[in-house]
Amino acid sequence: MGLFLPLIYVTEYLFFEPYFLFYVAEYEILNFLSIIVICALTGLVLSMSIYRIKFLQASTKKLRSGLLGSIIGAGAGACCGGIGVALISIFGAVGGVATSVLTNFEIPLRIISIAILVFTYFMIVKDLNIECKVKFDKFRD
Amino acid sequence: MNYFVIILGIMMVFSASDVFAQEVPSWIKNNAGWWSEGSIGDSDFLNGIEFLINEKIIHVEVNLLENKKSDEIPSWIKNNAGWWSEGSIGDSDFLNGIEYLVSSGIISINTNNEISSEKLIIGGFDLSNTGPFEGEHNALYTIIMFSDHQCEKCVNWLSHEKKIVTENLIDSGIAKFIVVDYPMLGEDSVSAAEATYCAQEQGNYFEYLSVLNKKYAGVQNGWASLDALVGYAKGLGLNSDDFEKCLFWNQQALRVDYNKKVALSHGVVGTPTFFIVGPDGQSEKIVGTQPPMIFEMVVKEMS
Repeated sequence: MGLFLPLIYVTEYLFFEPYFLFYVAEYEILNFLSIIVICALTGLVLSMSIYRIKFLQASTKKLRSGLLGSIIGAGAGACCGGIGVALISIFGAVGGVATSVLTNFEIPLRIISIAILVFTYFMIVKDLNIECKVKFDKFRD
Repeated sequence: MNYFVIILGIMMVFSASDVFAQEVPSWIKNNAGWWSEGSIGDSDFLNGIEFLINEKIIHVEVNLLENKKSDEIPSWIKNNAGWWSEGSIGDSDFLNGIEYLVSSGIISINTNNEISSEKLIIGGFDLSNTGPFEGEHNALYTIIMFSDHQCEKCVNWLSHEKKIVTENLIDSGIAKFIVVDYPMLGEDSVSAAEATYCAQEQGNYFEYLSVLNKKYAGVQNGWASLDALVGYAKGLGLNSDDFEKCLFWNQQALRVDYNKKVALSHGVVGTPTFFIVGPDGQSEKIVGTQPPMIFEMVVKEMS
């Protein structure tokens, strides 16, 4: 939810003015679904990564790849609204290029983001299966 | 060997400057020489230069909006003219002086389509230089849309939501609708905005706007390049010579710039941003691609 709410506000599915409104147009359904998937995967990957780092003292490598996936997904489609303008005004020509790339390749970038997050999720699950395996032999003795 | 490479480099630089030395017709040099010597007066020389600029025989880049009016010709410009006529300095140095004269208003150039001096202000919004209104002119409400032609959300709104707004508010005579440019996504946005006004000159503003919405393909990826914009005009059967002249000479640049300043003065930071202006001049801001229902609710609340 921490990512979902800001993201649907930035991508203009949630409005506060002049009325509080949540609105997804028919032509935006694909984009909206991709945001839901990215947010759900980010929630899973981040929580599992933090668990591994905190309790199993694992490296931050997978957390970083998870964050990369989330950032790509969140940045895709940053056009026209506040983010696009901020990018252009802060970073000038580079920001302009970034805005155009993020806009022109919105769907491919979201697919890449989902792919990174899914890959990271399975890698973390695999690691957790090894790291959290209960060694019954110890209890028998 | 190293010396040879350096000499070759210097020769290439000088030969390149010779290629660009034809920016100004050489016969003007005689006039510049006479002017610097005092054989001809200031007004004769300046009138001649003014004519050459307006006839596009010489081209100068000037930002007219940053003019600082002055009546006095600085002595360095006259000196430059003399040196240029003698061949001591290049064309670009001479043109710098001319650009200064235009910027300071001593030479007035004909932009062929200056911004409108007739003010049209609705609810504090200066709409003097926008495109035409859609709907009845005496409609009580005005929907102002600040838009960028390269903004995907603007195009989506115009292609989908706008139809219902048109049916319920514009066609019924309740509101009139107007698009105001706020080009912020690169050079192609500016060119596209200028192109709509070039089309307006030929009476095809709405048709051209509709073509731009249909042809939309992203940001700065060629669909709104100058050549593409000319192609769309040809597709609509517009006079391509007039259209090209209008677009390539930036004849509508001042209008676009003016509208951008209007947007900034009302705190527009992204597109699309709408304002609904009521009969008493009160306005309500709507940011983003909101559904037609919201527009109807705002109008209802204002009445």
